[in-house]
Amino acid sequence: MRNSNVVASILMLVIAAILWPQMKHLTYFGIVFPRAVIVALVAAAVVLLVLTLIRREAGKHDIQAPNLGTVAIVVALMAVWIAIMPWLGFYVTSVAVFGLLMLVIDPSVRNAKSFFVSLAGVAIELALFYVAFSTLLEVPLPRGILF
Amino acid sequence: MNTALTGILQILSPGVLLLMLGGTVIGLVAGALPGISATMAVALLVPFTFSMPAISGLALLGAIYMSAIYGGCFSAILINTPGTPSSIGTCFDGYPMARQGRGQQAIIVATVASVLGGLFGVAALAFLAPPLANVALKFGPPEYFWVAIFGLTIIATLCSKSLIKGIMGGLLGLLISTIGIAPIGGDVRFTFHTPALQGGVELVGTLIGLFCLPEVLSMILDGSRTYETVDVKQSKGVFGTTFRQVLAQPMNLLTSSVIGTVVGIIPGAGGSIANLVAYNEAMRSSKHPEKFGTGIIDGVIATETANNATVGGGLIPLLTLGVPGTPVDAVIYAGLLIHGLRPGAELFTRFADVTYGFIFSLFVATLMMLPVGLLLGTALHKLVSKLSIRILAPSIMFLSIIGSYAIRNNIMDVWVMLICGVIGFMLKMLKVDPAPVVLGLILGPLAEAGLVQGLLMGRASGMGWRLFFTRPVSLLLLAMSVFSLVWPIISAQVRKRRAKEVGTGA
Repeated sequence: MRNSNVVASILMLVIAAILWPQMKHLTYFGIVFPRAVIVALVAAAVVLLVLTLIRREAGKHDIQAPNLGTVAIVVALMAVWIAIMPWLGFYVTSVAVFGLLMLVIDPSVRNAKSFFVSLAGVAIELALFYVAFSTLLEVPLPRGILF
Repeated sequence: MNTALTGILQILSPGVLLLMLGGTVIGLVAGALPGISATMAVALLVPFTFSMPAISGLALLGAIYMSAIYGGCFSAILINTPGTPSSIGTCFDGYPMARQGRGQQAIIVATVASVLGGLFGVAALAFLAPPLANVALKFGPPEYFWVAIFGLTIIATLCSKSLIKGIMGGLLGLLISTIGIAPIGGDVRFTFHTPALQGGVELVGTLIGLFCLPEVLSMILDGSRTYETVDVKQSKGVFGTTFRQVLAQPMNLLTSSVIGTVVGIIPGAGGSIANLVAYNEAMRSSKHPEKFGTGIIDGVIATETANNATVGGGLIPLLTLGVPGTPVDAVIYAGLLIHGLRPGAELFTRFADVTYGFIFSLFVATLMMLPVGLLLGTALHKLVSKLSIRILAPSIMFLSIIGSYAIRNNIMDVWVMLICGVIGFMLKMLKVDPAPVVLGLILGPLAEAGLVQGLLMGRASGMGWRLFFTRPVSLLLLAMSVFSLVWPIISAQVRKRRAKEVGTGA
């Protein structure tokens, strides 16, 4: 199933199905707006689905998703970045994950010399941002067990 | 008047001017980098303004915004790839000019046109916004409800190739806006028992997630970026001649400025539409339309004047009604909120110093583009176009993380940013534009407050729901909403019928 209309409609219906039961215990003024929005969302999704089926476009594969594996790895690395940042420290985590991301995004950097030269540049770049945020802009960044 | 003058004088202080100069350079770099839109640049840099005084922060954002829209012309002219969607039309004549060895002339034309268009838009903002804010004072909750609905219908229509997908995006944004405590009644909604979500989703993090991460992930999917830049030979005396050539086209300048400003005012449209509309209009009204696309200055003047005029135009509905004219304005809205400023009449009365200072800062930033663009533009573009994707993509991710964390020092906001980024990427794959989602998110509170307060008013007056359909301004806004929804369907049918007739005739 690689038709964007079908997948988008189903996704919206799933979202509506997840949120609808959550409104059970809400008061009238709390429910009136989200309920109207969910009803409209379901209606729009059904119309899109029905139109796609009537026009026999459901079989038209228009979702192009090459290299989704790379995207999944990048997103996972970002999740790791966010998860360990408060524990290990903002700067150290950022330099480490940045290095890993460079390896994932550009395999040609697997040459050790080029990798470490880039990483050194990155370490300086991140240090500048760290100083700018923590001292100039006075944003307390997570320090963790390192920094 | 004195308050407004105070704001203007604050902008002229050396510290703020220096900040704006930095913002102009940053915007230029961001605009010149294909793949980094003005929206993305402003979204990533909003958190930097958090600890600044409101006027300095907004002046910085305004300078980045204006300059990023202009910066897009460099890659359009030098590598035939628009740096931002606002410069798509600049490729048509700018690149041929560069190929003909007239790159310097093309850049001067684009710079002068951008400055003049930008100034026109800012003047429109300065003169139109205060009276409109006064009109908005007369709006009650039902009118605000319909303003939000009208904004959404326009956005859904203009931003998406599919009307239904645009509407679905807008509705999804509205739903996200309901997460947290209800404005009236205090119900806790859709938090999935996560206390951190009770205050709602943090706007800046959500915007960064929806606008920046999908672009970065797409950048990574596209792989390496190699561009062949046309060399620009610098000659003396070209500026004066070209400047006069630009000024010799007053109608083109005026029409494109008006188009840019009006398109900017229409919610959701922005520079990406304005530059193409202005290009078409310049071609239609030209005495030599056949020369368009071969490297004439008329096309570059039209597109670059129009796209910078959208900046001022787009801020008119934002500052007066809280309805963002363009996606970048949605981010500026978040910038206003983090400084405790709510769009509406109050901005022009209680916070007049900040508001008029901000408008004046746009004027100054537009003028700054002239020396910065002409002296540094080409060199900066050459430098940043060599930037490897392995550095650029993680750098944007880093800024996304630090930016979404900085607003509330809350790691939950960073998770929300990541989740929104993944949702934005999925929606992009499903061909659902993120702009209606974001604008739904911003207009949601306005629509909900208008609806619920209107219902309360209806109950008190015994009119109930009828209150929304009886007041004259409400009816006008309702009619405009219906028209904006129905018009694309009608025009598509007309186009189909015409195509059929042409086919049958042939």
